Amino acid sequence: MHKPFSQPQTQSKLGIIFIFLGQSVKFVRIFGAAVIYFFLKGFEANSELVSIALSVLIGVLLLLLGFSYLSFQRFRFYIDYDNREFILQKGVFNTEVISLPFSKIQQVYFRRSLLQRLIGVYSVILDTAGSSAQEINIKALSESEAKDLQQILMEEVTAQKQQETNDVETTADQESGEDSVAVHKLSVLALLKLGLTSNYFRGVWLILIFLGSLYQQFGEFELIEESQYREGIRGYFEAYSKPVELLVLTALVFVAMFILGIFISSIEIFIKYFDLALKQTKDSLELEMGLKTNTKVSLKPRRVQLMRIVTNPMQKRLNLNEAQIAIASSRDDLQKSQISIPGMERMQLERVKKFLFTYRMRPGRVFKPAYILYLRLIIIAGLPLVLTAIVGSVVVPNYMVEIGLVLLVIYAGLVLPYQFFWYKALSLEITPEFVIKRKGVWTQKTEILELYKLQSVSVTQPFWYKRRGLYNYTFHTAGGDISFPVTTSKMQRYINYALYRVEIDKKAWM
Amino acid sequence: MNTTFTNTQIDLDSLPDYQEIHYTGVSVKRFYKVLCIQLIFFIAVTVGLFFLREVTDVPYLIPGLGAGIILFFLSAAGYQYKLQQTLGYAIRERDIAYRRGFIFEKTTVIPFNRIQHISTSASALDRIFKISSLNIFTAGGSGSDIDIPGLTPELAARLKVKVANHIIDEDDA
Repeated sequence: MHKPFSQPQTQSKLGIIFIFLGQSVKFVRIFGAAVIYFFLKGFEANSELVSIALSVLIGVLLLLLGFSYLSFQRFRFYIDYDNREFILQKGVFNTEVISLPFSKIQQVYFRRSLLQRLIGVYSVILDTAGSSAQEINIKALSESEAKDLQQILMEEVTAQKQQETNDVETTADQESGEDSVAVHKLSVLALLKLGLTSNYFRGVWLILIFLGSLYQQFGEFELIEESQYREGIRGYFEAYSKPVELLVLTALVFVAMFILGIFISSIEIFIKYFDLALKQTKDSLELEMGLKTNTKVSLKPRRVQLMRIVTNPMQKRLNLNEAQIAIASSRDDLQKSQISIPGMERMQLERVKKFLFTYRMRPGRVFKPAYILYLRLIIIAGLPLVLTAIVGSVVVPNYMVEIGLVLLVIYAGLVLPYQFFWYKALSLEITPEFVIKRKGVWTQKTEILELYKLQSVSVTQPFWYKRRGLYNYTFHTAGGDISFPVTTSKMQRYINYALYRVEIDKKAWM
Repeated sequence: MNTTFTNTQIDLDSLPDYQEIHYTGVSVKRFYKVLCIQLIFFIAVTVGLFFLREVTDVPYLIPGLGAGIILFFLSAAGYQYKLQQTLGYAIRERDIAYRRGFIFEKTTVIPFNRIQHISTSASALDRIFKISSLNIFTAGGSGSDIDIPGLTPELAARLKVKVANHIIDEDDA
């Protein structure tokens, strides 16, 4: 006797109908409007055209049917018990053969759209740790087939993950116990501090969006008043034509915007992080927060892929750090795979780090990007200014000296130092167990990645770096990438080390 | 140089160097396939140009555009020729490396124990030229996945089995 699903097989016969309907819906979505338009117009004109169009339409439908049949025939799947993997072949014009090892299957579940309900078929989805685009979807199986397939796959998968599921169960028991210890709480005062020291630009931006939408809503009604409005602007310019008054007024507007920005940021932070509490149980960190919607997240150390610590000089003084944690995105946490915990003191932060990371941090080798990067930064940042100068020379050629001076002051006084500090702040440290990237002038970010959670490494070299032996390095994780530009080839040896570190590792990375 | 690692007993120089890998090139049929696609586009654009000639009478527009188009397609073909030479893959005991790019040379190394799944794929044109691609997926998103084109279907299938066996070995170990 064959084991079930060991021979390549097609989906349920109903699948042809499902594929056909799906294709037709796609077709209607693209050409539907044109078809309807044509028929409405066509009836008015002459009926001969309509009959041609009708036959074309029928022809298209027949083609779709043929395509659906082929696509159904070509879509075959089976289980390779010897190699312990699931294999799927598909595609009419572009063919693809996918093999999915049992050990990499995260979950097997059903999904049914309205169309699938009507036809009476099930989607069986094999979920992997990758993005949703990577999941395998067998869209048309009968109920019994779907259940059999799920059961067999789940048996195979759980056979390998027995140990882990046991762990999970004990975790669940622990959570209900009273083992949890409070790690971090945000008081109202801390929230206030946070609001006052957070990113104001976000607040200003929110105001601008709000004003923009208001303008769009009311703009149409005010058409009549537009001429008056124009008069108003002209009046404004006439009344404040003296440059000093204009400057003061603009400054006032800016200050007002700034204060409003702080205000809005604070309110946003209050709503989002109200009553934030971080508790540590035996196996996880439990996070709870929010005024309007209460968010609850459970952080298991194994799921954590990448951690980012964000602060700025003002918050540093107040001992406030924000931890952003990227966890491996699987189906369970589709809504949010990045979690922020703001307002943590350094002590608490260390505690969280100690809990979430498998290894202790030890000092490593620090890399800085080559100075070429600074040159590139200041050249790129200078381009808008050069553009402004060019536009200026065309629009107001008489004021070129003034414009040139202003631009020069901006460039030398703001761009050069800012880019310099940005360049100075950028560094990458590779320790025996971690990769740590630091960046940012005002908002300082530290990104931490445990080496054994690395997925792969990419090294890029544009040909003009060849002579200098420089490379761009990217560390890929399941929670995002860490890239580091224009760095000496000395880092290559540490890439070898990183690969070695991953390859000798037996621990589950999620 | 190694001062920071003295406690770990790992000599960085003794680690296998991925830069010393010998890469295997991909089939030249991939280049022919890309040329074929470019030729189709070239013909389409040329036909478009003929129609344009009927409706405009701007002096030098057509010869200028024609020269530009020819130059563009020649350089695109030249680029593909150079690119073809840089494409290469290598399988080591514990990982697979893929190198591509001629203006930007990019090398991606994926350890076998981080591969999620593998597939082989072939487009309609690929099948005319009798080649296919090997796609390797990780959990690290599209930046970390690799897609090796221009393999003979047998080779792609064999590589797939080989890599798949490695994945399973890694899991059992």
